[in-house]
Amino acid sequence: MSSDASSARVRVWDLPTRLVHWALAVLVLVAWLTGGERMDIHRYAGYGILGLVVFRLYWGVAGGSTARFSEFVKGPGTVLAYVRGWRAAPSSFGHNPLGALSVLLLVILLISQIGLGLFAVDVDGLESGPLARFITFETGRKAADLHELNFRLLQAAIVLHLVAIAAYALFKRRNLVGPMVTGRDATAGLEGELRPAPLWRLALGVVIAVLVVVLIARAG
Amino acid sequence: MSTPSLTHLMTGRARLGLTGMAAALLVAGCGQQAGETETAAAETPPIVQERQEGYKALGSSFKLINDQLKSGAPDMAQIAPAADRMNALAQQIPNWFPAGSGPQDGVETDALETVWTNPEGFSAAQQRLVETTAELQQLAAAGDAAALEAHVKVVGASCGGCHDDFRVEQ
Ligand code: HEC
Repeated sequence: MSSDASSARVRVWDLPTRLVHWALAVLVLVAWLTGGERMDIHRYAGYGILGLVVFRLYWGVAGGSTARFSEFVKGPGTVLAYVRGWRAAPSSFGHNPLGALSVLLLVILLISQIGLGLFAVDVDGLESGPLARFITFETGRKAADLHELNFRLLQAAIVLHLVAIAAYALFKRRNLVGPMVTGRDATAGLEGELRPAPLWRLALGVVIAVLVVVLIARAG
Repeated sequence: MSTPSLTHLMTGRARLGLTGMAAALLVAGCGQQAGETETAAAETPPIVQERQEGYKALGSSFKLINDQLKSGAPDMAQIAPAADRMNALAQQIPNWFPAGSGPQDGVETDALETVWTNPEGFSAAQQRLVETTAELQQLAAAGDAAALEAHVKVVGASCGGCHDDFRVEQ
């Protein structure tokens, strides 16, 4: 990576996208470590993740261009062609066609993880998700079992995500972590332009996410 | 900047791919579930099923009480009989673990061998639940919601205390 070519450092990720990414990483770790142990913290971590995912879904429609699903989700043909020519494929601006699938997989697994957690009931019958009072104890136990199973899938997807980042660093000399921190990508020959979203869209997204979390937490 | 509608966000092929992925995940999930319940039904002897049903009933009653307390306007007419059920079930626990129904006998169960090797400890844990649920009954009869809210934590700890020592960690 050349550090002198500051003019070549193009903006790729807007601030909300980066913040959501790293906050998710931290909160998923917190939720993992506190699950079954410190359920008070686990619950707040879950609410936080819920808000972040709601915001990310909204941002995938209303956010900066590289955060939008319509900009980065590609059809199976494009993905296959990308995989076939992986070694020689030019560096993508924003998500590449394969990385897009990784984003979708992680988001889908996070949604099911939260959904199950909202209904999960602990074996002792004392701790439960905020929506568990609408279902029976046994169904709540099933939700808790699936919450656990789905977490294994989520863990696998996260490992895959990390392996992919390592593979890009090793085999393609591409630093994917730096841009997710700074928002700027110094990869040579990268072409593209981040079209940021106006501030009011960000404000609206925050309001929506907070509202959803408060409504669900209050239901319990 | 114009906001595109959701349906226009993805190409037709992307949408197909997504639906396929979701369907595959669903199918994989169902397969796993079906497989699990089949083996459980085939290998679980009646006495183990009976005690697991008993514990589930204990859990259902306890959940009912906790749900009522969380609702903000707890209905003592529902809490009191649930507390009665819990106390009655707690007294039955010793009948649920006859010799020959443990993992050491090749039985599929979440009970640990310690239930049979440490009968005093198990009996003490069971006795604790009898006592804590008896107090639950008294508080429900007195209609004291605030005291109940504090006491369910004690009851929950007497479930968890026994599970820590006598049930497979999950
Ligand atoms: C004296 C010990 C003891 C106490 C007290 C106790 N449990 Fe358990 N519990 C067990 C054991 C042992 C098992 C495993 C049974 C098996 O799989 O054969 C179990 C299993 C369970 C199960 C799972 C049943 C299934 O479907 O496999 C639930 C639910 C449960 N307990 C709820 C409770 C609740 C709620 C309380 C407190 C109100 C409680 N338990 C108190 C020992 C105890």
